[in-house]
Amino acid sequence: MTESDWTKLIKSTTKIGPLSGAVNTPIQFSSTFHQSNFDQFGESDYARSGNPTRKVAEYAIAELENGERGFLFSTGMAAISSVLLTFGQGDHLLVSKEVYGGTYRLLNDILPRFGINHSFVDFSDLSAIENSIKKETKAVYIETPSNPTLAVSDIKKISRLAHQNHLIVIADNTFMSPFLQKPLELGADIVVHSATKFLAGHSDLTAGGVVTKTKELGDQVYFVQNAIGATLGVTDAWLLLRSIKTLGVRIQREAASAQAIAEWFEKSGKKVFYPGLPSNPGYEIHKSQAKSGGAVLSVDLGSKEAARKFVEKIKIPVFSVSLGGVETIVSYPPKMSHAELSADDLAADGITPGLLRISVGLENADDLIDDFNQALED
Amino acid sequence: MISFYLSDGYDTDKFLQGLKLFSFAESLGGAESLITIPSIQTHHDMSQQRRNELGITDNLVRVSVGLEDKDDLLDDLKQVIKGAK
Ligand SMILES: Cc1ncc(COP(=O)(O)O)c(C=O)c1O
Repeated sequence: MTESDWTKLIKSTTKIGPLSGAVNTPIQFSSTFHQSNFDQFGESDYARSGNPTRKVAEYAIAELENGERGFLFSTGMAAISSVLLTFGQGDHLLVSKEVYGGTYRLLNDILPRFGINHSFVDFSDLSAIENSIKKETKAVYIETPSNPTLAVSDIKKISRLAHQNHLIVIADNTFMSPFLQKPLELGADIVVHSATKFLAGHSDLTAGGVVTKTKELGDQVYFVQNAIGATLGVTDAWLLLRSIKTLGVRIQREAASAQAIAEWFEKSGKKVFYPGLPSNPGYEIHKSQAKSGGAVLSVDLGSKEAARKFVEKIKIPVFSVSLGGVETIVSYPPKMSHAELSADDLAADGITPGLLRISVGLENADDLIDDFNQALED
Repeated sequence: MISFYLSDGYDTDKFLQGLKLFSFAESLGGAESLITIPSIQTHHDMSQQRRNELGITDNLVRVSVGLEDKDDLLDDLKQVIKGAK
């Protein structure tokens, strides 16, 4: 029986507790585990290396991404850092020029200290990727749709090109979640997540996830996870398991509302960034690799003044960093998620002074549209 | 929520043993699908006579449907009912 994702969301997160039959995974508050045999240690020995609660959640994300091994970290950045630290002195990475500000900071300011260098490339241009491959290049790093301009990269084509050149493909799947897009099935080798976003879904914790396609890549990630130790605590692992159960109902509804809101902004003559709109340059590619446009859109209101006025007038959403929560979140990327970028890089990436990012929550879409409408009125 | 009777000739215990997707557990309203046998669980403290009057017999199965895919749930019920004969 091949189970649908709806069933996987429940089954992979509901591992019956072996001692009591508890339907929910017990939280095992233990940093160390007694070994009953001198020569042969049990499954758990020390919680940095593995804790039974975290293991269930790691198994769940691996199941959902259809990968071999899953790993959970304290934040998305801890997950991304740990994956990128599987590379070393002299290695080179090709990275989509549209990446999250924190990933940009890691690549620019931290990894070069360890001799890991990169080039930012326009990932909508396959020949630009091909021409940027050097003999030191080891991997390509995709983020699709990207934060905050929702630029789409073709996971299948980029993976094929990368594999022809013996490169590993890493994909940040934060904006879609495994419910809407499965990069490993499209050719990627490693998926990374800010699980803080849709996987956790309630703006209540930070977490990061990694899923590898093969056991070998999993062994490399595990080595760094255990060595550096930026692992997810058991309470957060449990909350994550609880949240993943409702990922499908949340993101399906949020995405349907985002589609309606994106269409409404477009009709009112605003420049909208949303891969579910046929006018979006990435629409066809996105449609071929994801189930819907997702729950995040950006809109350019033309100026910083207009963005400020809009934010001051909206009544329903919260104005904050982050996305993927049950509440609608409006953020201002130039000063929030992408504050790390220089003015030149902001402009080059289309992060204009009037750009607002909207992560649509579970509120009624018509209520949100009414609220946005009054905020746009003079 | 749905309740149904297993017909004569179907073994309730075999039915419960064969479940793969449903948990045989008390309670209802969870994200996961649960199956309860009210006569031995939720309504066990009622007298047998009262239970019989209300139709809460040992072959009454109560189902709390969760968020799993409905076809997967139906497949599980079909295979388990077939096996309980
Ligand atoms: C696409 C993307 N990747 C990674 C991250 C970093 O995740 P975290 O904030 O959980 O460290 C974020 C956070 O906004 C993100 O949007």
